[in-house]
Amino acid sequence: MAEKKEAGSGKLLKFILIPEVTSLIPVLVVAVVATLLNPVFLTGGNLRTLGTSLIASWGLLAIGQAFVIISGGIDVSLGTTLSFAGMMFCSLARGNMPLSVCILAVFAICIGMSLLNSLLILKFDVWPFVATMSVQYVGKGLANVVNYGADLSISYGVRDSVLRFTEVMGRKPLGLSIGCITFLAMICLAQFILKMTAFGREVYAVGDNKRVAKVAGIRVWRVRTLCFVIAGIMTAVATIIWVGYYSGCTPTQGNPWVFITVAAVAMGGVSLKGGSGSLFGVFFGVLLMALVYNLITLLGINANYQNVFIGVFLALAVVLDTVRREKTLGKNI
Amino acid sequence: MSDYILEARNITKRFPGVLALQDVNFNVRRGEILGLIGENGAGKSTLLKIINGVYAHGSFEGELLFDGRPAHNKSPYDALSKGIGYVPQEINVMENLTVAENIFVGHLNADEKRRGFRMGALMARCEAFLKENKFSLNPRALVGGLSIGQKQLVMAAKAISWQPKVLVLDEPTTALSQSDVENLFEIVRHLKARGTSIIFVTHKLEEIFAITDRVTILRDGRVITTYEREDYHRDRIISGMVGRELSQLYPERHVQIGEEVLRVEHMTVPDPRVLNKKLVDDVSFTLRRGELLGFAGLVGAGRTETVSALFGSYRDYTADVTLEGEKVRIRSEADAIALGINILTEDRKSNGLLLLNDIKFNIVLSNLKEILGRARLVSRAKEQAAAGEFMEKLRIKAPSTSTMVANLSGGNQQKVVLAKALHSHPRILLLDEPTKGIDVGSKQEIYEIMNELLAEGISIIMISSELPELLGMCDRFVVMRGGRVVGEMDRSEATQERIMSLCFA
Repeated sequence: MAEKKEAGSGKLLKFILIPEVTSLIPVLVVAVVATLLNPVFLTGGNLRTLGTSLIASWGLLAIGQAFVIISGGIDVSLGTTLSFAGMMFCSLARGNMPLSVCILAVFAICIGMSLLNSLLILKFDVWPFVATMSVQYVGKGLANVVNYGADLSISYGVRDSVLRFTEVMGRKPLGLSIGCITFLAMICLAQFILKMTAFGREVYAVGDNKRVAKVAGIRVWRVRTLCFVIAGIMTAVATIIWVGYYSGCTPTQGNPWVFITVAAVAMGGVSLKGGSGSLFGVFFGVLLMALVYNLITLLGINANYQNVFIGVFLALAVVLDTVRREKTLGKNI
Repeated sequence: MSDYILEARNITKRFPGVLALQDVNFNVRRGEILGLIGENGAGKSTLLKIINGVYAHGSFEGELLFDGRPAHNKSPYDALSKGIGYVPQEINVMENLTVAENIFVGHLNADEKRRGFRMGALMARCEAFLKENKFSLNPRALVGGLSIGQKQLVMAAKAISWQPKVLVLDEPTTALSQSDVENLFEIVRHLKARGTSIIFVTHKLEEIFAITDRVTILRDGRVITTYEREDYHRDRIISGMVGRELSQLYPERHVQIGEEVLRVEHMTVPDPRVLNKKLVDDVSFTLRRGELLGFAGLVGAGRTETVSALFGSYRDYTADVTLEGEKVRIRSEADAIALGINILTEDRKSNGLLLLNDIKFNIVLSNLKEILGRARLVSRAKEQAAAGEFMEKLRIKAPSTSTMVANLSGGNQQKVVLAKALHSHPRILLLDEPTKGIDVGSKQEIYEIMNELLAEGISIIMISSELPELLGMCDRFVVMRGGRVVGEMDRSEATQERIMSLCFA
């Protein structure tokens, strides 16, 4: 009898430990708590705020972060890169540059920063956290250099193409922001790449064990560089979405977002050790971050508590990952 | 007072599925240098770990006596404080500290009661200690800047600084230059003169002759015999070490050996960590279609490095490689695989398998192109088909291709690594210790699989530290020592004794 019960709870534990399931649970818990504390939570008007461009920008960064983390790295420079690229977009627009130049500049900056990261990590063997931390500071500084530390608005004094762009980015087809639609599309595309292409396989293999991947003939440096570049592209897309929606940028805009992405990715069931996880899990992770943000606004709690929650969730995710590894590996290692 | 400082009585040590030591009796007299010799896997390391407390009292059967009394060692520190010093084979030093700090770490103060210490006093103490014990080391030098041999001497000094009654040296000369070896011998003789007993574990016969008073031979977890110095005889010691019957473990093979497929000439691999040291020094060999070429030699003879270089794992190496009549240059593992060379590495857990992934994920990894279907997307059907085929062909025992690799036995894990290599359709297969750490039944299956592969026209290079396995399986042998080829012979000419004496020289 007791044995049976134990077997039953073992199965339940196994189910809970499936990454996507684990990441869905806190989403549901927070949603229920939110509804109980403030019934406004469940109204359509409130739920629509989850689909804003702010959340979408976090989500897009989290997709890039997920590629880097699954391939066995981490990129803490994404946030300040967004700030810098956003400031450059606005500055160029204010300098009467056409929209295409602004967008190209954003992509060039974001991909450039990614290549700088992978150069430091792969060529000079710097620990990813340290390498991207340095680049983070470079981005942070440059973002302030652009306009002497002041915000830049592009709601006037720019070319028509840029104005039209901000107008389009403010629209909400199907009730969702353009950013949100982009985010959902990118999540699906990213999941598709990871699960259905040879490159996706290589990302998992490299993140799990670089030596095994190398012996299997995978060009490890190429895979890792590509993951950083993907993160750069996602940052560029997030920058364009955000600047277009906000019609401007502040020099510290994306700086705190990078930690949100790490927490979202980890809560989404992606192991910070690399080699496992899925983008659908990351979607739930982003949703959780959005709910926490929403809850804090809704209940009128001091906004600084958001960081406390993020920190707690990140720690929780790491602990869960360790438990998951122990449960699946058992005594085999 | 007992005649023996250390005595092992009826020691048996079991690991899951393996009997590492079987009823071992052996002893060390006061003030003697005892040689301990045996092949890889003979049980030397296990015995040493029992003596120095890594395997604590109670984890093995039998009794260990120290100074006539039962020694219930709980940990290496416990053994050390009783008077059993141990110098492991692997270098384990603190690179950023000085020689003096490395040696006296754990008892930095001469005076136990004082807290804090003065660097000057430590240096003076170390200088006196090194001089007294004939070490040619500078106490102020940073250990990180020393050669590997000097680091080994630092480790020996560290053990000696505890003034042990028994000092265990586990293959101390592997990494030493000739002058360091002489320094070490001087130190050891000096210790002996002061009454310390020494257990000197080695692979090298010349060292047994040079320095030991007695030698105990281990084989297959048993003590074969112990010789007094006056009974030392080279052939007798070698046959004691290897004297095993070739059993029926090795299946017969009738394969027509074809034309030459691979020619490697003047392969040289510099040691990436030590300047002017060569891991592989001017090695040349050939391989023919359907041939099984065996690389014999001791651990560290350069065999793994030779096949790794051939597989593109070293950035800097020079060699003229001719593959089926064409000159090729292999710069990476990916190059090697594209040219039809694949490898089964020695350590499957560190670079052979993704343990947390399933069987099929692992098998298809070395050739992802082949499982791509429409629009170059991964085809689950193709993946399943490829993995299923290998599961059947290599007789991998698992519930399905979705079983996590970590849950397989060693033998089945090894077959998955082999399947992964075969999935890239190699013409040449490099097997580095293919039967290491797996049970006898799986070994035999692997041998049968090797024969099937040879019959298909694949050529194999096998490295093995088990001589009987090499002799039982290979068509031809290359013997390596110190990074060089020291002999080459056909199956008909080869005997255990002949290969062994080339290995040891």
